[in-house]
Amino acid sequence: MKKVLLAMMVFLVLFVGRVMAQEQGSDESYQDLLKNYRTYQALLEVFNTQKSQYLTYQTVESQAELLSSSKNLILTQIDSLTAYATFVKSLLAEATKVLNYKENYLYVMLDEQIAYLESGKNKVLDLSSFTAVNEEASDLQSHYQKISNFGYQSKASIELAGASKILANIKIETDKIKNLLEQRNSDEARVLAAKEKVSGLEKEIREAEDLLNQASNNLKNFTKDQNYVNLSQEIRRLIDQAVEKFSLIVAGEKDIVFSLK
Amino acid sequence: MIFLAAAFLLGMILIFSFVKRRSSEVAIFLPLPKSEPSRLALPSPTSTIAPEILQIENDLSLIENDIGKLKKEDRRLVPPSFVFDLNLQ
Repeated sequence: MKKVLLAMMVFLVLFVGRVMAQEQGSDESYQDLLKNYRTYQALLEVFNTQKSQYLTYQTVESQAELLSSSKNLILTQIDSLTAYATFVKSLLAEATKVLNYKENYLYVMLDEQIAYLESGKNKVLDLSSFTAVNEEASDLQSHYQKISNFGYQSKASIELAGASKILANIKIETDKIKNLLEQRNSDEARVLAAKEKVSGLEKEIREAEDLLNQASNNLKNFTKDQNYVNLSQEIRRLIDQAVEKFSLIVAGEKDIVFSLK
Repeated sequence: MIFLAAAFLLGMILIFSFVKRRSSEVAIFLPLPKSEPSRLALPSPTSTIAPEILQIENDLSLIENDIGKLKKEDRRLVPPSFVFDLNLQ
């Protein structure tokens, strides 16, 4: 009876722990990533020291130590990459409202990579030669590039979705202001000036929309283009330009609304 | 010991006599001066600004908050770098 109770308690603790881990927010996931990456950096130093010792002495002992050290290094690379992929997933989950389920593809792809990394850990433990370690590291690099691509793609998607949401809201407010101006006495000088200002702001809105369309087209190239770092930077540059226009438009609309008080 | 007991008794007698004297005093209540109405004009419960204008102003402030958030680039999504070329021979 006691054993059954104990087993149930252990199951409950593990189950609750797993559920809580799944519901980890992006801040917690990022802390987890930092922790894993610091461990990796520490082990990289150990690896470099042992590599230089091996190259100097070429002994069996130093070779064995280097092999063990390189395996540990790859294991922490896997942990850091898993933590990074999990962090990207948590950010995507938090941005679901603005992304409108466009992130599903990235989510599935990241899950695939996490599953590969999990299975790769056992493989690393069985590595018994430098050649095998080199091959494993090279294989891991190709997965790192895929995960990085998904990371940059997620970053661009979240930023673009946020900017598109702002643009949609600005358009709604502009329409409201135009309706308000239609209801006012059109002979009034202030109303005339406000109408002119609105048409100027509408031009800015169209330009901001063009910038976001360009960014959206660039986002589609993520699957084709290998140079995803540059692609992500280009999308951010376009979004920054659109954001400048947004600030200008909102300031102009605030001025119009103030004049109508 | 006797001195302490005597001092305690004396203290008790003094407290009792003080309380008794206070309770027998006649309490006088002075009427409070009448408060004058404030000279400041109180705001009307109905605002003079059209509700649509207030709504637009509020919406624009919310949009400004969103713009502020977007201005700060989330660099945390930039993947960390690793050494993959271990070059073991």
